[in-house]
Amino acid sequence: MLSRELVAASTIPLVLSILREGESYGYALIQRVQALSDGKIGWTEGMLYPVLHWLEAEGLVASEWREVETGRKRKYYRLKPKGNQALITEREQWLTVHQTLTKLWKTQPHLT
Amino acid sequence: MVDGTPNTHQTMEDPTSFDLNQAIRNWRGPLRHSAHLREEDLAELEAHVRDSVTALQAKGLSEQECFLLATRRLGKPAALEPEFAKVNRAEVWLNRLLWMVIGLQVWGVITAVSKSLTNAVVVGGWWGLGLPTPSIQWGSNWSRAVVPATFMSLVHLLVLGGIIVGVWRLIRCKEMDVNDLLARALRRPVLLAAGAVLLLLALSVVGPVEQMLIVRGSSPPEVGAISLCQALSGLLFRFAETLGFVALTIALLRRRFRPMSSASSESQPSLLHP
Repeated sequence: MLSRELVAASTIPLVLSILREGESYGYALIQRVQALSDGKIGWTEGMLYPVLHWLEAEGLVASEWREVETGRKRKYYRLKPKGNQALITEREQWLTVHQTLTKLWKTQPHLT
Repeated sequence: MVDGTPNTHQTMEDPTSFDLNQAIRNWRGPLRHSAHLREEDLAELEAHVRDSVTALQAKGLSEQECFLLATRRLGKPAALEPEFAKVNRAEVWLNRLLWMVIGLQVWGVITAVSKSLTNAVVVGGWWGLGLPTPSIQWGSNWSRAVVPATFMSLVHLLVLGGIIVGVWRLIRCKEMDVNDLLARALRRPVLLAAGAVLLLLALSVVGPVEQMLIVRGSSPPEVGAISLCQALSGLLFRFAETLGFVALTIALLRRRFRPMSSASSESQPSLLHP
């Protein structure tokens, strides 16, 4: 399991990256993260919604209520151009950390 | 403010008659009264629970098990609330302001109605039932007016309490949604405004009419005595009202600033980075 700091820091790039594939809604976002991380990124599901609302308030995503085939309503989120820009920045930063750590760990192959 | 876990234990008592809609209503109950969650947030959370239940049912779990699991995965209300509070601050305050304004208007109407009723009951009783009218002359022992004035303010408080309890029970027993009621009323703004103006006019006419009737039906010393009683009773009533409001404010403040249980935030980390 991830530390709480890492969970909080990685939520926004995860959400933005999934929305870049196409619009989605809260439950589906969570399912996707769980599947991709083999259940290692475990969110308290309800806590995703304040994050989505924050992203919307910042103008990174847009939302829309829509009726689905079962007659229920769902709130769909999609990435806005500003969100795409934010994702590019996030990606650069995460890759920097990732590459630095990878280089270090190459020279120290036996971490115990 | 929400405390503890959602009210799911009621639905666990009889597994044969589990009603998902009822269970969701019970679960929404405490969250609905939270100042930090908008109606829309609740609708979104409910949609999530329903999606979650449907997906879990496909795995062969019973509807009740699915519901319990779905709400547990969603997180405890006490943990969710502060997260929503972080993003809903402005709307929460606007919402509070709206309710304060509505509350003040409603309180104004309720006190005006109860005051008129009190005067009708007490002053009408003095005449109709031939109760002894307090006869005090200026400069004489005016403390004799305190007894009828106290009686009058007691009647006033009782009438007021009666109206409040009546309105409250009406709302509760019909399970009316106040938000929904307001939304429906706002769909006809002209009618609403006209109604409000008419009500205010009617209430503002009541006072002068009462005074006129009192002046016409009584001798000058009686009018003076009744006026003195009314003024004293007003004073006593205001005192009781102020005490009530102070107590209410303290009670609300204590609820608002009650510390969150640390255990829930420990096990359910925030996803929202500062």
